[in-house]
Amino acid sequence: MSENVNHDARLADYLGGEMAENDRARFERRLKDNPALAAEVDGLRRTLDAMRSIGAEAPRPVQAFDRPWRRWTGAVLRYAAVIGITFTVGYVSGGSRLADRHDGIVMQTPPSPQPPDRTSSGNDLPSPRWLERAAELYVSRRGSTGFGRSLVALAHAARPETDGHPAVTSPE
Amino acid sequence: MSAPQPADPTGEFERYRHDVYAWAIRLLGRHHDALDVAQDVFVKWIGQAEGARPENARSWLRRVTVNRAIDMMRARRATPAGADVRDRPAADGTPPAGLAELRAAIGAGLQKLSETQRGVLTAKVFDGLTFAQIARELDLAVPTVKTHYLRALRGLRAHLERDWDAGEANHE
Repeated sequence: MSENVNHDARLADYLGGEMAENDRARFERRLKDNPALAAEVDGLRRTLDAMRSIGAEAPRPVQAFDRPWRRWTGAVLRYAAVIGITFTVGYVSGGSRLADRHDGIVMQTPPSPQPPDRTSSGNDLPSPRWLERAAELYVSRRGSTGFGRSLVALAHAARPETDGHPAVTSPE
Repeated sequence: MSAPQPADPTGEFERYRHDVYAWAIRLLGRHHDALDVAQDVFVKWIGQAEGARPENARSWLRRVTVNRAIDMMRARRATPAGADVRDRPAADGTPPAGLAELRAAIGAGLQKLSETQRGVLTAKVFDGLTFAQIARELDLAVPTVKTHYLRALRGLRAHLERDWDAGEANHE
């Protein structure tokens, strides 16, 4: 029994590369005299080689881990897109309306500073309410994430201001 | 006396992310599968109650990674989803090395080992630990670790030889 245990311990040391040099030489001489042991060692070594071979070509980990900035790229792009869209909508709607009003005013009175017309809707210009709807849709689907909250805040900022400024109608 | 500081689970992520990926890619051979496994493993690690986290994080992570990778290989065998990119024929027409098949056979063989045998064998072959280090890691005696190592190797060899014999029979 103890001989078997010693045999297995020596075999494990040999296969595991943990045998001292002179013990190793002695063990290899034994292998030459013992074909059954040599066959067993050969089979086990092939198994070890197979296990090592599947790791030998494993690619260097992990590009995704190695570039932490990638984690932020998506969020930054989303924020940039929202800000860009908001500015574009604001520019198109506000700018076009001011141009329209200016055309009307030139015919009648000198231009005077007036709050921009942000209350009219239903005309051919895009309404900022779509942003509010988009924010509600996003939050209902994805939950109140940081991006969702920012979207809601932008929608609120773009909401028509009826409290402080009465609706301004186009000059007759 | 100050209260004990809570362990930072992201510290383990920073420390072991490359190891977890390397263990997974050895068995799976596909970058995205290995990333999925790494993610699952760390989600499981972080999801554990603070007091329930094992002391030896590396040993736990290796065990769970290997088990999760084997599960994924089993699922992949059920629904094959394409070959390992490194198993495709080379541009010069060299036949595929059959790494995917070898990985599958090794995964199936590892699955048949006991948890301890699998832990000892993967610690030795994948991580290059000494028997003494494995004994400390798994809280076992060194001769017991050697016995598990040899039994694991013999079990895996028997499985692979059956697999190789079956493969040769299919080719004939």
